Amino acid sequence: MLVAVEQDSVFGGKSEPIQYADIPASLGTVVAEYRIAPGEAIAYTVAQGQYVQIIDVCGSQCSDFLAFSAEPDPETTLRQEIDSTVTRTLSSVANPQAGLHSKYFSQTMQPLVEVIKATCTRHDSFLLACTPRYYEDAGYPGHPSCSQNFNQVLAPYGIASRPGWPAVNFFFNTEVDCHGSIVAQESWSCPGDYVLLQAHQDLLCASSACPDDIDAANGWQPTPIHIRIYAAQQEASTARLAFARAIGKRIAADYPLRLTQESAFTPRIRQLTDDLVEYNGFWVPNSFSYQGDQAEYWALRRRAALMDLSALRKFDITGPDAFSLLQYAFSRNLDKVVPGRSVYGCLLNPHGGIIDDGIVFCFSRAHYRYVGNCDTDGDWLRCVAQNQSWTVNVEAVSDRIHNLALQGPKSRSILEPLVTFSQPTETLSKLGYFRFSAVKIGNIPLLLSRTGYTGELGYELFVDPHQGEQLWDILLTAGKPFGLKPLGMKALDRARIEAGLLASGVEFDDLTSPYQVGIGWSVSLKKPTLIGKAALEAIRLHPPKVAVGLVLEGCETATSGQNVYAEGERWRIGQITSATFSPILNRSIAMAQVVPEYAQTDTVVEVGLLDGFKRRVKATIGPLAAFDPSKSRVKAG
Amino acid sequence: MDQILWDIAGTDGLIVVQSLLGKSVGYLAPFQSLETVLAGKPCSVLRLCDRNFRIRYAGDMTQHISPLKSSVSVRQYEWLKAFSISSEQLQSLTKRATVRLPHRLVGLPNHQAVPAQLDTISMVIWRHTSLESRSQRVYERGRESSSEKDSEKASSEKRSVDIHTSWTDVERLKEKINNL
Repeated sequence: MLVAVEQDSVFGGKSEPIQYADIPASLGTVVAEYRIAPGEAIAYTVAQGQYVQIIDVCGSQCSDFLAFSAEPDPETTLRQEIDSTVTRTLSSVANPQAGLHSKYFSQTMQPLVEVIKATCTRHDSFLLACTPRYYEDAGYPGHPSCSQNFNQVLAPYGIASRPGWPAVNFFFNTEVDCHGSIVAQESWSCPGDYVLLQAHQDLLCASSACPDDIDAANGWQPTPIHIRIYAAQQEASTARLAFARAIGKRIAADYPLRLTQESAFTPRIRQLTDDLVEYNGFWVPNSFSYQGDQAEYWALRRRAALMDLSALRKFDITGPDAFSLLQYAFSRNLDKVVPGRSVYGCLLNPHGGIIDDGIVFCFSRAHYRYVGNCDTDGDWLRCVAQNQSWTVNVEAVSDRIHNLALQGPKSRSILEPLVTFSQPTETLSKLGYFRFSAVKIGNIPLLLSRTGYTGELGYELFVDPHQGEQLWDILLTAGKPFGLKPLGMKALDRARIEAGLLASGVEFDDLTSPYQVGIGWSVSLKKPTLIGKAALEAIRLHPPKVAVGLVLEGCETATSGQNVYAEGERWRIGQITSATFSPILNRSIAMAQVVPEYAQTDTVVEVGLLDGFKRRVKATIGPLAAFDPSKSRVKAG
Repeated sequence: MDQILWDIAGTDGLIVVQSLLGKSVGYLAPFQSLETVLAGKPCSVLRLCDRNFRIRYAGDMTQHISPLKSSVSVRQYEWLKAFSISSEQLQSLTKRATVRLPHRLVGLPNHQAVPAQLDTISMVIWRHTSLESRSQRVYERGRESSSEKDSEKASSEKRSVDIHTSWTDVERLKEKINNL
């Protein structure tokens, strides 16, 4: 039995809960609620299945958390408690996040709590809850500490004091820097940010509102923490969204928090795999059960594969100045891009850096669609239009258009009998590379585009999310006789590296020019005006680095960030951006960015594996696309 | 009779197994398997990760691998034991055993393995179709085996469910499975 000591609950389920104006509305049925005063701590019980929501009321406030099994083991008299080392080891992540690696484990590897949702992604589990010793060493003997507060609130439960508690320090902003030091700074959390946990067994928990006012951890000002306990059983309609697993991310200071969402196809995908990861705000499959990335990869290269690329962001650009806007902001020359055609290129900033890469689809000179990676692309285009006093509307349509890619040598054969073109003269075989058309599959209207991200013949299908599951079913059924398989991110990454295709945030960011990443060909400097034109003209003559492909000796695979050296020299000439083992080439390959002086084809360089010294592997410079560099497969007639 | 398991691991793991048993092994995903023949003896190949393989083979695997002078280790782990169960026992086992996400146990297909737990005992459950005949030559060194050829030999194949577990747990696990 638990010792009958409970902190005063603001609401213990016996009366109506107090409506707090300073925190987000409750997610569902609340069974208990506690407000922890700044600098204090509480202990509370949570039953198996119940949810604990730890809310940072004012922002920038750390809340350390302990969880113990409700009852001590009768033989050992010990309680299970969260063990962060066990947790890190079992999950291979610094801190569990909602999704596959979401559980905090005990010393005997039993899950105690699971992260269901978190609207702040930076927490700490490396350091102790703050201790008297920390404050003493800093010249504050007698300063209250989370560890001391925990000792006091746990004593009535028979839990012995410790000089420091190895807690999960929610919202505590620490990281291990490149020198191995653990550095702490002000919390990233904003007012109302929270972590939602679910108890995997009956628990005794303790939470603090950290008293640290001597450094930036709590923004120099301790503030309250609010705890809500929710019933294990919630209304189905409530639970579906409010208690759905999600990671909250902020993409810009003036953007609302974005919680991980499902695409139209995710319900079907979940039937086939539990291996889903967060990617660009969506739950996407890593690989499929009883299939694996190898099989998916080979299905793609030999037959066909179906993938969910709904995480791409779509913007409709309409109005009399739509052409002018894109001609100015997008790297390609759209003069000859007629309706039904699309082009790959990038959005540029004034110093020639890549804001994003993507594809512009032309419906008319007054209507284009930009498909890229970032929610902020729309704002950038709007800002440019406003500065130029252009009449143009930029509308985010990502939530109205989800998309699949059907790729592989058999993709055309699968689609051919399914697709009805709006124009009877059009056929799938006539749909050229970077052409698109409005079509129907069955009674589902969609936009069919001859584009992809795999280096294979393939198509992208843009559809109303309401008809997503139906489209998924039709395609999987039609593709079965051809050996079609659904494909996850692991196989896709392998394929795109082979094809020399860029990944945002990996090959480029807004400090990188198109000339550095191998898409200088997509920059039309002949256009009279182009954002960043002056900078790009200078960079083009001698980019600081250029993108190359590498074929490594042996089977070892390089990793992103590893250094590339001149043969036999100590000095670096570049860095690996992406690497994989290519099954079809049976070679270890990489994409790298090296100084132009060492970028000539067939130049032999060295890749520094491990610490860069212990193992140097020779590699030969080649085209960025190690597989099918002439793109004969994607352009197949 | 005890099954003989060979564990191959190392940088050249994939290259070595491909050169011995054909390129088909490169198409396997982790925990998928295939059946072939090496030097006239049936050989069941289970891929454990990119470069690690477990091979059920009654011959001496070291004599095939040593000449290749590669960066792999070939081991017979003393602590790892294997035994077979019937399809009926597998059905009962899948109802009681648990797996950790993202692994799945329901509908475990043929030529597929999964790490699982029964109570506190850990095991690998491996469903495959072992080649019974020792004389057939599905693969010869230098010639690639193919799934088509494998299927032609179906008449001489035998469904098998193998369980791999620690030697300390093997008897306890057998007893538990027998009592399911």
